Amino acid sequence: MTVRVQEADFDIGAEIAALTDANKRIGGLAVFVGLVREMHVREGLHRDRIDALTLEHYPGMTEQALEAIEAEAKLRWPLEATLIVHRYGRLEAGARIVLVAVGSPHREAAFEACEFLVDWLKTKAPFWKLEETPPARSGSARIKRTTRQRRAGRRSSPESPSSPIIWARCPKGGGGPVEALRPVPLRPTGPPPPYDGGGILRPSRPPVGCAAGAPQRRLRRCRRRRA
Amino acid sequence: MRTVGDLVVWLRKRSTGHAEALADGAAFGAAIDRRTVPFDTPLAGATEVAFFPPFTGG
Repeated sequence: MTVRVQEADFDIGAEIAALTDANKRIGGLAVFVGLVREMHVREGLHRDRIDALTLEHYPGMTEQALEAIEAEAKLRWPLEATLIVHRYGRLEAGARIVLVAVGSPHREAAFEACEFLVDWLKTKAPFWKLEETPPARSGSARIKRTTRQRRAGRRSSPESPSSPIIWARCPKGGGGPVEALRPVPLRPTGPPPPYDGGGILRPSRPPVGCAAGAPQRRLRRCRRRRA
Repeated sequence: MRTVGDLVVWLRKRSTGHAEALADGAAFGAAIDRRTVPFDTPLAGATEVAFFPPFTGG
């Protein structure tokens, strides 16, 4: 069970050998290698060649998050060995970014756990991506935020920095650690709206005018009419 | 100042850059001591607070 976040490249053969030599109970090893691809697919069209990516991470938090998801995979599947090696820094097209190897006595668990880890890494891992596209006629290469970042950051400008932006230190004392898996958008402060009695806590009498077993959409419409 | 959200409000007043980066509609997350937390989390006991744009994944 190993997690490494590093700038250096990795040797797939050596990593796999080290993982399996140490454990003879592994009957199947699923391996995924993620690479920087040259073409960038955006909304179904090939646009903007990507020459390089710069991946940033938050040392300490990224490793911790990767270890947590690895532990989660180990809880869900009977795994004998897991390895996540994730690179950061500037990575050119064709470069290896990530290696995920999952060993289990049987192949199903290895395949499923490997897919689970890769899906999480590709979408929810604490990394920040900068895409480098070729220069437009003249000038230097453009650096863009990724599509996902642009979609998420509706009003934030493309010039905003993409790494952790502000650091603050607070005086020590009191309180306890709070756990959460993902950042949530900042909500306006103030008391929550009063509970109106709606939702699953309402006693489930059949709505007037609705036949039993009517489609869900219709039931909902009937309830709204009553309310 | 009690929560992470209070800190955001305070930081916004420091410069126009802060105000823009931490604007109400801007999507960003927060972490206390390298664990992501919601904005209503108390700051008490924190050593390090970080704000960052949405994760893009690797």
